[in-house]
Amino acid sequence: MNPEHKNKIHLMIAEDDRVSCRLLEKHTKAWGFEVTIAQDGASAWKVFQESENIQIAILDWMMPKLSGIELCQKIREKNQEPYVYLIILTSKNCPEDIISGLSAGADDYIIKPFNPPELRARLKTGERIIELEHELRKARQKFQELAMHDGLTNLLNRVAIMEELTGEIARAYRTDSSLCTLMLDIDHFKQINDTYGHQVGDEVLIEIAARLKTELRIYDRIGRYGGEEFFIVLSNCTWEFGHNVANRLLKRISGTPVQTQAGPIQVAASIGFTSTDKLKQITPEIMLSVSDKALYLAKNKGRNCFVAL
Amino acid sequence: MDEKKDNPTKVPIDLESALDRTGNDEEFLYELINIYVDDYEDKKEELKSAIEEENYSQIQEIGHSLKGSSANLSLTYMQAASLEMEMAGREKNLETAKAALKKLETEFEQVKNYFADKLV
Repeated sequence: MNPEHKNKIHLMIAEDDRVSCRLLEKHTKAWGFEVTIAQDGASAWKVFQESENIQIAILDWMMPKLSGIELCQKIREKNQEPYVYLIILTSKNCPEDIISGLSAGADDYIIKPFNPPELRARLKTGERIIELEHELRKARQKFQELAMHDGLTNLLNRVAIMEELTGEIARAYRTDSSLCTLMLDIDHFKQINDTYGHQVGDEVLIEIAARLKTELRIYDRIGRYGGEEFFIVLSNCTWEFGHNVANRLLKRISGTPVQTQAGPIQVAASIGFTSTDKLKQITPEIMLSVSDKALYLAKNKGRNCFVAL
Repeated sequence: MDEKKDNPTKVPIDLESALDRTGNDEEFLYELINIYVDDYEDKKEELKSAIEEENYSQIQEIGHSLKGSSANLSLTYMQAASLEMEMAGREKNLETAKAALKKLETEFEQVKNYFADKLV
């Protein structure tokens, strides 16, 4: 990889000998690394704790205050992300240093006095490992997001929105504020699917999800609870304000038809909602159940309306 | 490098090896030599105290450190004397340590003479 076209990798050198230190610094800077120097084990540990992006460290095995080995152990114990690639500098004829270094968590070693092209090659290996770990973390984050989101609408999925509700209830208690929950169900959705097919049904869901999202505040939470059901958590929201929100959402949904590949389709929804202002007992299950009950009443009332319990 | 001073058969540095390690940068080599010379003065004092106090781990540590910097600059004889100092510390042998210190002093003079016109 060409160092000029990507961010410089941050490298730490922990070496108490000034000559060795300067030599290492000169070479590593010339090779394109962002370099930080520590001249004993204790300051190396301090630097490492205060900086979050050291990716490679070259550690002399014998240093005042904290040895290279001890430093390796501490760094591995801390086990923070991203992974730090550790190279330990050992003396010739000391295989026991190599063994203890690797056992303490070093990834590689190089014998002093070091040969610059060899160090460069070993650092390249380190860069490869770091890149691998980076890809792994990216993939893990992607999967975590996928696990929490509904694939079609990109809203939170059921598990995730219920988790959010739990958190918001706790926060409402802490800040002594009100919370509302809304269960919103698209009217006659089964009919839309049967008449126009599931692809069009999906288009409707995506569009409705998008409309709802734009109507909500940045700290409101919305999830796809079921096939055509959406569960909305409104923090810092009173019983009265909840009425406003419900009205707004209904208007937004039925205001303009949804454009689909089968032409414009008029859509409406029913909403059931409740608020912590009105509940004696407050748990996620209770709020869910009361919202659901209210939704049922809204459907019975003729749909395209909301009921508050 | 100018003509060799003192003993033409005993050169304190393996120049080819040293230049190799500095990427063939002569100026940088002189920079390092200056750091080395400067550093040695400090280390010498520390060694004297350590020997006086019979602090063997200090003796070993300083010997090790000096060995490292000497090796980096391919200062062959300084490296050997430093190794003796390091071993003296490891083996807790005061007499060997004192002898090693004498040797270091002698070899260091050679280094200073050799690089006399490059020292700041």
